[in-house]
Amino acid sequence: MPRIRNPTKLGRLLILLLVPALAGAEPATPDALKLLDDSLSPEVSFRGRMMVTHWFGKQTRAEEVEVYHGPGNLYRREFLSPDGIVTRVQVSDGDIEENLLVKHHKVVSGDAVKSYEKVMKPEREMELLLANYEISVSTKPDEVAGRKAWVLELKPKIAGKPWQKLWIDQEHALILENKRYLPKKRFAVLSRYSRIEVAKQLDPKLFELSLSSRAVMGGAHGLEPDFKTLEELKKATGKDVSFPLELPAGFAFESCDDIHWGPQIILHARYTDGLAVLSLFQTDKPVRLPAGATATIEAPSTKTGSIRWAVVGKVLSWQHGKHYFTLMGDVSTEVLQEISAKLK
Amino acid sequence: MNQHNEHEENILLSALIDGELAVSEKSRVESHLALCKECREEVESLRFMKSVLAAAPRRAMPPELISDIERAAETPAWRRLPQLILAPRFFMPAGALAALALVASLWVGARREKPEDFIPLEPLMSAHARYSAETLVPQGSLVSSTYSSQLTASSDAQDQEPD
Repeated sequence: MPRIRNPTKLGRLLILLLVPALAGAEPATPDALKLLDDSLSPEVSFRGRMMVTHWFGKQTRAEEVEVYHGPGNLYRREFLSPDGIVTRVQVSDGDIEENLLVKHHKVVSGDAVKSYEKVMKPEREMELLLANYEISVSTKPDEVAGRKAWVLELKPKIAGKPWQKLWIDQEHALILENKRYLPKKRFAVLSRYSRIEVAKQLDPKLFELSLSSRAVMGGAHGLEPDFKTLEELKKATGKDVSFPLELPAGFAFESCDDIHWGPQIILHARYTDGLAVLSLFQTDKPVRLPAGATATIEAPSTKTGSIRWAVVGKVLSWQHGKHYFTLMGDVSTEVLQEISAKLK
Repeated sequence: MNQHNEHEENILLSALIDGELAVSEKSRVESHLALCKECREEVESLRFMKSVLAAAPRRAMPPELISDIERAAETPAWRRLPQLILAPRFFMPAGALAALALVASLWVGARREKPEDFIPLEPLMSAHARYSAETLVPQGSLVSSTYSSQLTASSDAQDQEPD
């Protein structure tokens, strides 16, 4: 057996052989939960062009958006028409969000998304997510907008609930593509960056409010939701509130709110299974569903309910006793019916 | 066999008397008459009626009616309109129709939903979409693009609502 007299020669040889092999090798598949957690609050600044496509019923709507994002919940989104003209601008300084509706020459302001502390703690929400969905990372990475990405899948454990796939940037854990499917794997929303650049810092002026001095300030109109407990809602409205804390299909009560519409008070209970959300509204007057695309199905009370597709998912409304209930969320008709039966 | 096939129809018998039948049809009807007493009697009855009518004195059209018709033919249609409307044969059915339409519109109006009788879906959808933006895992990342467009419609509608 030949003997290598100079050990440094062997080291050099090994390095020469291993370095190209290591450089070409894919990094080890990360832990799915850690990857998801890292993607939820990116701490880097970036800008990019995104295409957002919504499917509702047989219709689709696609919009291109120029996105600017900074740490601390700073965001600016410029929604573009097909000919590239900005139609709407959303700006958040971290706490307040302004929506400039260019066509209406109007600014509507409210609280920024994710600027609240919800009633349900994030740990509980994650617990529900794990209880209701299988989370996995594909061993085959993909590429979006020229960046390497992990593909994370959230698959419901029971039928009739949405699926989701996230393409997460390997370097900065940014969500580069987000595909949400309705039950039976029909598309609901697809958002995908066609271009994205990570920046050290973006111009702070991008996140300044008061976009247009000519614009008229509109009311918040639902942009300032409150996250109340049932007790707080009872106190605030003086109404008899009896929303259940749990619903079938793994949904748990998260928070509630009261919406004032003229003289009417709409009670809004929110439920989550960690990924999908449901809204249950209680009113003293019937809610008018727009004409068309309605079907009568069996509802829990003696009356029948109407079900229809809407942008936010399915809507089921019925009367029980002296109250009217409206349930909405992107779950299947069967799941909605099962849930509404619980509300007898 | 029914009655129509057993006996010739009255109209054929009348046509026979007036000499308006084709040769083949005439021979068929006549051969039936040779065998059918009832139809022969019917033919006799029709012939009698025809002769009575033929013998009746003819009345001439009154001269004033002729002049009325001639005058009406010369007058333009638009000038005859008020006269036509005021004629009972026109205004009675028209009045009945108008009354019916009035009752129907009152009934529909009474049944129509008043704005205060219902709550529109838009504020509910907007509240749901706003909550969807707060989910742990972003739903299509820019879900707020949905609620802000709904918000436009919603806020416009609410602006019109009385407080």
